[in-house]
Amino acid sequence: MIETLSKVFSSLLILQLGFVLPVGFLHSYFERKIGADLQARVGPNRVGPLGLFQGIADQLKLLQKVSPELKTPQLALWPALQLAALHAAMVTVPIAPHLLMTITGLSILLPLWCILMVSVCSLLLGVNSREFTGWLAGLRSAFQAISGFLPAMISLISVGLSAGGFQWSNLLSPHDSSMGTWLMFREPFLFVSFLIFLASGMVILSLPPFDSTASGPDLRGGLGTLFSGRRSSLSVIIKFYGVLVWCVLTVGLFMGGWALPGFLSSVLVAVLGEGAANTFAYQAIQVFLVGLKTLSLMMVLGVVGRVMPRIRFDQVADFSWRALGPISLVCLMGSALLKAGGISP
Amino acid sequence: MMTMAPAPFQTEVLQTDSTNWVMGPYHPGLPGLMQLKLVLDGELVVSARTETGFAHRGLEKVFESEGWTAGVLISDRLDPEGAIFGELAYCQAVEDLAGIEVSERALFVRTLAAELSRVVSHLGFVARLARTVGAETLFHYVQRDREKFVDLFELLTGARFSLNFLRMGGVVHDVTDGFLERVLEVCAVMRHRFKEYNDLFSYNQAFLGRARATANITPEAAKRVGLSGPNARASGIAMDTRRWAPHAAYSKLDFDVVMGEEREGDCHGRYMIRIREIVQSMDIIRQCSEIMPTGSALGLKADEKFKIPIGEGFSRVESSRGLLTCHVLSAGGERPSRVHFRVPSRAPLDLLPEIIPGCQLEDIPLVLASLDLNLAEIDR
Repeated sequence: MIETLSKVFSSLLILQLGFVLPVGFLHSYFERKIGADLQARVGPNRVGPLGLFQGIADQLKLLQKVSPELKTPQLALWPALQLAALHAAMVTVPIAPHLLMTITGLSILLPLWCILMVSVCSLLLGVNSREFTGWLAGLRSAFQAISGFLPAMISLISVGLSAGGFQWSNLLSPHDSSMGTWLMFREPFLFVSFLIFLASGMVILSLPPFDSTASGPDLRGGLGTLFSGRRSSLSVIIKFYGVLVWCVLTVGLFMGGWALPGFLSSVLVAVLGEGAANTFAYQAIQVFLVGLKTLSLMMVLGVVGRVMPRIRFDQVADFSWRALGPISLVCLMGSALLKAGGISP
Repeated sequence: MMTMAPAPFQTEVLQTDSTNWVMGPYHPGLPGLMQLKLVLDGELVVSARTETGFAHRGLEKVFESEGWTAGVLISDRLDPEGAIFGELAYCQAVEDLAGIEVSERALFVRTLAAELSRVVSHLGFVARLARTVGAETLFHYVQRDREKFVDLFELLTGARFSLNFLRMGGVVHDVTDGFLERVLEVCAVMRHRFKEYNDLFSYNQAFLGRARATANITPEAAKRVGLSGPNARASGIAMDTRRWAPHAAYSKLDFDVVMGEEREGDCHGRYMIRIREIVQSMDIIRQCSEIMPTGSALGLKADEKFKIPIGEGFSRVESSRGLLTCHVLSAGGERPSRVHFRVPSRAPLDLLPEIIPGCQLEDIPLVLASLDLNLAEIDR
């Protein structure tokens, strides 16, 4: 029992210190820098060398602020539940084989349910906000989450079908994962499923340009402005965590996850010996690789959000039901046919 | 012993009444201090009423307590974004009343300043509209380009806003050496920017999906409320004061009335017409620079005390927002006895309760931005 607890605790510590914090640090810098470059601005350049510590300075500033009393006690509960759900999701997403704390036959579905929990909490947060704008934002959030969930689920089933199961071990081999062997490049339907899965995540999490829940001009910032003072840092963390979980999930499903490219794997085995996969260096490289892929994906989502104008929430739902849903179904059928015909590996 | 009867089963009824929501007077989606009293069915607007007057300054009354020349500075505040139009309307009305002659060069300098002001105002419109739909990237691009035109005002007048540049009979100081060349350089750079704007935003499907067929204004409705300027032209009304009642040097310049080629009278049409007008304004600026006459452009000195004869003067100006008129009455003293402006933002505000019903709540800031309302001139 104590051994299990100590293993879980050390895994969580490694997860936070070795993955979440570095990715968060780099994301906060590069997202701002690339965003500023796109918008003909300079971006962070004051705090730390090249402005690297701007994100930390911002969080510290927020933490120093006084939080006014909440209108209802539930307003403290729902963000806490959101954070808990996202933490729970982190232990089921594939960052490294030794950091996976839950292995079930439906492993790849678990993070999705955690994300859905975040959306439910957003709805309840809006309803309990005692503000008309918060109420509308909560409803929009739920409306989008429902419409985005269906295509995401169908895409997930396509992946499970092609991989032959819903366990990470079905999807990710420990060795030899060059780009060509990634699931998204295995057949055209899976590539479309990848795009649909990514877009669905943006819809569910209300990321720009699907962020009508946080629209400034009509809802005065919506859910994002329900909290002020140091509590507002919580909404920033939840938003970042949501994107992180979705991107890690996408990397695990479609982009080879922790599996190292063949040449790198061979080199490491040659250097570290037969039991290389169990060494710290090997696992650290696996975590680094997942982090790199995740960060790249987060950057892509950030650029899309910066460039596109905001899409109205009913148009987002329309897009999900009429485009993403049917196309994901076609992809599912296509993948099934290819699998049945023995064309897909 | 009494027995309690079981409570009758009550059906839960879902309340589906409409919701009342008052936006403003302080709200980021509004163009200024105003209230929009909405009745909503879900997120669909059923009806709307407007209320203004939250920032009334008694501007027209101030004219009556100041001298004739000080009126130029006051008329600056009519529309802070297009200060030159208020000045121009006031100066022309006083010149009409007193029969003051304006030199040919001064007319061209005034035209040049007016068109530069139109470009700045329209670019401000594009930036505001982009922001209402979350297009932050375009907002930054436009602000970057707008700054270059505001710099030109600094070169010309010494001020970036509140220019205080016109005087009765001319302008306060002539254009400096190299100014016209600098104007042409900035315009040349600006011409290349439109491709960037159009690629990024003007024909972006996400923007088209929101702006097309939203808050349409029919030509009949536009005529009924006296809509003018780009808003009227987007609804198919070919009315431009610069053409049908030319002021300044417009009669000597070659240009056409810009008309909407997009779907009539919707938010996208109102956006596109302003983009085209920026191009047209830059062409007018080029013409002004090429045929600028020589001579003096200076008007009467600010410290010169003068009396205007008894009578009334009237002027029309095509401001960036539409038809701006000024009516001045003089009792023969050192200050006007009455100054009244007819401002172009009033008509679209009156039309708002008619065009908003049927729109989504999320589109209201977009509709307001597309009408380019200026609360400062309404609450003058």
